[in-house]
Amino acid sequence: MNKRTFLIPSLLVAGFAPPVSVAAAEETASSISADALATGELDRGAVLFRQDRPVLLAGHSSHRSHSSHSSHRSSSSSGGYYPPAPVYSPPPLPAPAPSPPVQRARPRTFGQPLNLLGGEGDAFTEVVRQVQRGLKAFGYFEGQVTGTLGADTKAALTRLQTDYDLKVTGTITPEVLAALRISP
Amino acid sequence: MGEFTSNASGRFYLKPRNSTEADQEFLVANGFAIASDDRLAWHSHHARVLARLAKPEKLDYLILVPTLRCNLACSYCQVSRAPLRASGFDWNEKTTSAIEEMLDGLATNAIKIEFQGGEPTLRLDLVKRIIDRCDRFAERSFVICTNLSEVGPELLDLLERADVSVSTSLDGSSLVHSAQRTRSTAMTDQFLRNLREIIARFGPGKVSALPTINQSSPPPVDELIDAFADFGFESIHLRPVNFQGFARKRHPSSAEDHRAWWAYHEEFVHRLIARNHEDRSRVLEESYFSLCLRRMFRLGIDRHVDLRNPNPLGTDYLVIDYDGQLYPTDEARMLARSGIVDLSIGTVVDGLDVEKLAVLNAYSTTIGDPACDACPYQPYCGRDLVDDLSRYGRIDLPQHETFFCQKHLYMFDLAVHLIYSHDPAVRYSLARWLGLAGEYLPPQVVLA
Amino acid sequence: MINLVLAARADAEARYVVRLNDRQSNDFGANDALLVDERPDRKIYSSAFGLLEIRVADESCFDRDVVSVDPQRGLVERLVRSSSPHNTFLATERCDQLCVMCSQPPKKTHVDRWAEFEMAARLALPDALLGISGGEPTLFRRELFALIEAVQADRPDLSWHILSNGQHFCEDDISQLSSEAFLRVTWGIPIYAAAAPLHDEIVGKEGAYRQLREGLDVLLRSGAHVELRTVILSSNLDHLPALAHHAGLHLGFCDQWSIMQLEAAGFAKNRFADLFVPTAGRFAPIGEAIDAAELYGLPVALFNFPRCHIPKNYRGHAVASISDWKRKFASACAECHERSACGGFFEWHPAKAMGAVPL
Repeated sequence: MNKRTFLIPSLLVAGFAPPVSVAAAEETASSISADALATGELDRGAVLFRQDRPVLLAGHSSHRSHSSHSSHRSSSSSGGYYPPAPVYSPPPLPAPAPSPPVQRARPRTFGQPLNLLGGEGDAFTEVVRQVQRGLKAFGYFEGQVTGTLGADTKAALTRLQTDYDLKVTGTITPEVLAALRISP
Repeated sequence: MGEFTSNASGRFYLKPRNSTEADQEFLVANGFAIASDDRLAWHSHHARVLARLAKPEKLDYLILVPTLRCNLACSYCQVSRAPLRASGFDWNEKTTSAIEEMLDGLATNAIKIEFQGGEPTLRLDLVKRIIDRCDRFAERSFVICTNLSEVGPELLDLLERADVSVSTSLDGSSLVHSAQRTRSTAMTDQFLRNLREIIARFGPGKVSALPTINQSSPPPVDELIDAFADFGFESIHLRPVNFQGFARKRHPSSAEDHRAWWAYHEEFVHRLIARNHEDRSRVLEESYFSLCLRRMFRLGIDRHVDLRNPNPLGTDYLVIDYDGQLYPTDEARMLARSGIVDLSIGTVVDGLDVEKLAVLNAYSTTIGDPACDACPYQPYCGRDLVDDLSRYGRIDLPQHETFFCQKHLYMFDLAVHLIYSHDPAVRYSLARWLGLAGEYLPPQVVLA
Repeated sequence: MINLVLAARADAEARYVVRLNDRQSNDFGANDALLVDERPDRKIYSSAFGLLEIRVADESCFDRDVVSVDPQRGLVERLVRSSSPHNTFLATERCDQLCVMCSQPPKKTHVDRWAEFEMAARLALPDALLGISGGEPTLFRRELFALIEAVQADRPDLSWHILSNGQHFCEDDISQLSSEAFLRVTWGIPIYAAAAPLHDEIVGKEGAYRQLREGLDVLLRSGAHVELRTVILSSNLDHLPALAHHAGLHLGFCDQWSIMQLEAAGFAKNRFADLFVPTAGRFAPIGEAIDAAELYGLPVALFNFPRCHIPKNYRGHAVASISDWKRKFASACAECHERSACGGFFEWHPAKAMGAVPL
């Protein structure tokens, strides 16, 4: 190819400026657009208006519609890239953030935790009872199996956690349940 | 009344001689003027101007020519073909592997590849190799540009893939198509049978077709539209034959040269408008006009490499010829092949010629061109260095003397006339071409 | 309706935040609770904070939900439901506006829950989108920014939607708002008219429109993502095309314009008859507005509109938006073919104003 001769022997003849270094050419190009486009008002030029962030609205990320995202040209596959005009379907659109509900619950009572759940089959109390039995069996608890988490039960939990090298919280943690073999 | 003028983002306005407060309110409300303390309006205006600039980055669009050989010899195809049985006009193994390696290295998740020729279906084995190599891309689109004179089971198999489609030429009626392309009624019939078969099997969405029009004797408008509409094609790109070789027209063409063509195009668009209005079951469009129209209202319509600004070469798309040479555009490949100017920008084996690209790209913008800077259509327009070279052998003609400029002046003028038309048929088609949900283009729009 | 606040019992003293797990997981941490017992009407969890019993209603899967536990009041609040895309933190109930149709009327008191929100966000599922609303969250701008920055540093996968009146940003915020931490934040900013008097009247604050424009200017210059939001009212319906024209020309940097039908909650409940416009027969100004904005490339989405109230051509803009926990359908909707694509009605929408027509 290079040995062929061309009617226009060089780009210079065609009106292009003589070759310059790549860096200089880039600099020229960028200074043109900077001069022409960023006025003194814009202290940070194009960086100010970057649109390259993902658009994130509830539930979906969507791109700006209408702009086509793949390249095209006219001389081939002309029908391929515009969606045929009438069938514009917007991108999956997000839901707005809901205004959150704050359902004001029952009258407030301070002090001891309320047993709002009540009723039979008090599962909470049953788990505490199981733990108390377990602590007894492991030799950490000598009180009554009440189903209530009193100071003595908490102290027993703390001792167990310390001895077994568990995280010391004084509460019924998954680790405690596993150690006492009460795990689900 | 006053004088027409436009601001930096290309909004038009009539500058009133004695402006009243109401005039000023109107100007401010429509974005022609900005109150001096309105920072939001200032900054959003600047953001718009910046957003008008194309920012091509990653290479994600390739035009590949696996073979230059072709089984047709179309009247206007002078240089981009080689005889069917010639040798040395296909990719060799070195070139093919270099392309595969190049694909592996692309920093994109989406790839579009167009197989050109020659007739690429002569080397479906190479086409398949490339397609297989693209499995890693999340989004893929392959277009095989074929004359559909022969459709074998291999091609049909390939078309089963959702990401593969074909693009073909349909020059109008059977008669015109025979005269310009196949030179035989039998071959034209075979082409039409193949086209019908593919559409019947895969639907009209699988195929895009475009006509090549002989500017000196274009077919009757309705005949051409029918030829497309009958196949279910709704998008038609009216494309005149671009005779390569500026030697034919050493002198800058005057406007008269193309006036008949613009008139034909305008008649075509008006017929589309009338037909769309009469038959609401489908919407026909002239796709390049639609592109111009969209660019007038919207930002970011800049992946169409024929119309954008700046339009840097060798950045986001690239042509790889049968011999591994790289070209910035398909037209650049033709210019090189016809011995006019060497616009090759490297080879797929050795890489891009960065210095040559830098020289070319220093001129790939309308910004700073005195004619363009004074033109109200500048924000929507673009630059095509290769077209200038092909027609005039130079890129430094005053822009308004070039075909590119005159074509787009015509296009945007037509668009402005239509945008401000009160004819419901016009406003109906414009709304469709712009993808609006409403029946008609809203009244009294402002060009922003 | 899905209850977001449930009766509970816990043996801890103070409030805490935990993530509920049906089973052990690799990332089980200090704020994870494990399901240890399950009855038809309750579930028991164990965590470092002790036991937690939650009353279970009909919908009972809490796996990977994040809850805030209030032992004193015997409640858990489901801060992040893993199954829902609609999780929103109520930053404050204070507000400097008094919108005529406010669905969440402001209160003077403020409960500082930023630490809880931060913990909840850290525990949210990968790639979750979290909402922040109020009241006016930017009244506590410093705390809000700090929350986003702290969470994003560890959880860059999360994204945020913050509903704000946009009036409390200033020049100095630009460097922060344009920083890495805010890359995945979208600001939902209400605008009710492109004219100060009407906008100010609707939001009940003089000068609001002017301040809003200053705020939008800061967001624009920060490269922030902005969703414009307009609730349709009898007072601004006919102004909508003018607002669209303005938004298309001047606010094209925004990512989306959301046009929303009125919610019969809060102030709007008692004023519903005055404020609400049934759009079934009066869609023209909305259609005109959609076209005017889309013409300039500003995408429009319709929220809280049942599909049968939108002319066919415009239905593509409708979003099935009403959050699952507050959505209902009319009895006529049972036979509708587009029900699955439809947002339905707000739970509290007056039954006689539904007018659903099966499609």
